Amino acid sequence: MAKYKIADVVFEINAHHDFFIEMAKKYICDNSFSAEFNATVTEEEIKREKNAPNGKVYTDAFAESLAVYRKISSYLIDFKDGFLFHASAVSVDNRGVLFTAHSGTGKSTHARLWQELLGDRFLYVNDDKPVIREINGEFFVYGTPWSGKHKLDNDIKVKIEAVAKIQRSEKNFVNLLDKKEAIALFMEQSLRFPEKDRTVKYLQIISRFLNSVNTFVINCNTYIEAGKIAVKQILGETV
Amino acid sequence: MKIKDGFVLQEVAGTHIAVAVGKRVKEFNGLIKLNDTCVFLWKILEKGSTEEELVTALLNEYDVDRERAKNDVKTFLKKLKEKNLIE
Repeated sequence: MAKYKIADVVFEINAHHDFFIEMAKKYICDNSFSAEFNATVTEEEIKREKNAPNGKVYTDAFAESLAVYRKISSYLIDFKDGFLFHASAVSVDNRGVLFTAHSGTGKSTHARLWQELLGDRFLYVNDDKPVIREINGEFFVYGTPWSGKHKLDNDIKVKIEAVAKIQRSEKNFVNLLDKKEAIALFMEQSLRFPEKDRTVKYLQIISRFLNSVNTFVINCNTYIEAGKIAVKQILGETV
Repeated sequence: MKIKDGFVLQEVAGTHIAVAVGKRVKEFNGLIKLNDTCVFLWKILEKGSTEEELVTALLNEYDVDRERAKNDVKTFLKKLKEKNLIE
């Protein structure tokens, strides 16, 4: 029996494949904790994840990690006011910033610029799929095992201060992101469930979320100057 | 006519949106942004209504002339038909 603490929830997950065990080892907790939810997935659930959106077929091991991710997400939305969001989440002196974008736009590349500029003050929360949770009216981002190909994640929890959409541009400048546009982003980039009650709950959570954090658009190239301008506008600091 | 089953209307951070739920997600995966007039019309059309009834409802609720109301209803219905949301 294996137990993992992810987003402050203890899950029992008995994985069949080493792939998940390896990626989740930072989150393992000892058996004295009692699991709130058994997120072990069935063969059937693994099978359902095998077909990739681009027409490829995933390995069973990879499909298992996706099935677990979906199962955990269902528990988070039902009982923990939480959801998985596709973003690169970073912490600077314990201030949480989420970079989001359409796939391939370069949110990870931008996060790396911040790391270069901020050094030890910078920590990755999760470079691909962090969890966001609402706790007593405040929003926090958590590291999770699903952190993309570079495995950049830490088992930490940080209060979210800002969300920034990355857009490629020759010139570097930061704008406020209109809340209407932010809604579209949150509909596209999160793991959602089709059920009505879960959809309504999700919309209620992101409504409160968007009212409590700052939302920006970072128009940027991939040079260090882009990071300097974004840090200045979002954190109010000159680096 | 009527709005198809399987949509929820919700206010998110000051904006009214409609999204598909359940089986409907497969055919409609986006979101529809609605202004106040559209929300008003949407709620009526959820239960089923004719174009003329929608115009009358607008005239009773808002301080607009018939021409404007007719136009608003037309535009609204056109938008929904384009997205194939009406049956």
